[in-house]
Amino acid sequence: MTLRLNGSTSGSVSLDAPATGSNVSLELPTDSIKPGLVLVAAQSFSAVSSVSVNNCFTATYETYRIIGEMTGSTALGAFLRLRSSGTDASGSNYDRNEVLAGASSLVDTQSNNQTFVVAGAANTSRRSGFYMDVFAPFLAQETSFIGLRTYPLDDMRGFIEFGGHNLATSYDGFTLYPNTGTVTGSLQVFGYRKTV
Amino acid sequence: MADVIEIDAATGEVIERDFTPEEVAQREADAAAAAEAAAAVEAKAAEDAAARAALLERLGISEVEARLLLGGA
Repeated sequence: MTLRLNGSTSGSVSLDAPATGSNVSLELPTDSIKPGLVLVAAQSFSAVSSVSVNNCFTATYETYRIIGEMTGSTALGAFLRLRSSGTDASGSNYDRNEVLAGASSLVDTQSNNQTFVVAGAANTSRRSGFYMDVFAPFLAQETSFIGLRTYPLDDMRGFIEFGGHNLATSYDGFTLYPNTGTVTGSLQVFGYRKTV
Repeated sequence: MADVIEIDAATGEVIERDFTPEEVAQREADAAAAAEAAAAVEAKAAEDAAARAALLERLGISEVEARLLLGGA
């Protein structure tokens, strides 16, 4: 049996099997067809005050990674809320702990009963990036968050974010919004494959 | 420019719209909460820096010497 890649001529794949002979199985390496991270949403945005992604959390995956990069119309924080059926979960149910990697020290701050977790930060002159893992948002149980974000000052700093949402509720999306001004950039949402 | 961009991951639909009145009110509350949180971080950083400086003064060593003592660069 021959697997022929005809990319240079027709961009197709052909599989030629012998007319006679025993059955043969063609097995591709598992990792080549089942990536660990699967893109479920991607969007760029320009000068907006809020970015909502609906129906990105489903039963297909349990844990998700949100990746973004952006600039701000001013120095700002990019906050995140869970969302269900088009409505933000804006109650005081988010507990968070953040560690600022500052110029000469680490500063740890605990903030309970908040209405958000912080996913990113942005500024006018420097691009910034963040990622946040969201654990089990679609399940009717508490949701937790772990994230990293750059903190774009003249000298680039960073934050580690730990968060939890203490309602046992299923959410199908999230909203990312700057606490002031607008953001321009892009984000992607990936699902972590659950099984091998 | 629209205030909000809303994406449906299931359908690929993208909606750009302005804030609803409820969202405007929520945003104002969010801004106040954010300012409070930022102030708390700054206050904690200032408090830690003052405590560190006071400790170094009591010990009679500089910050550089303290880092060397603790194995840092």
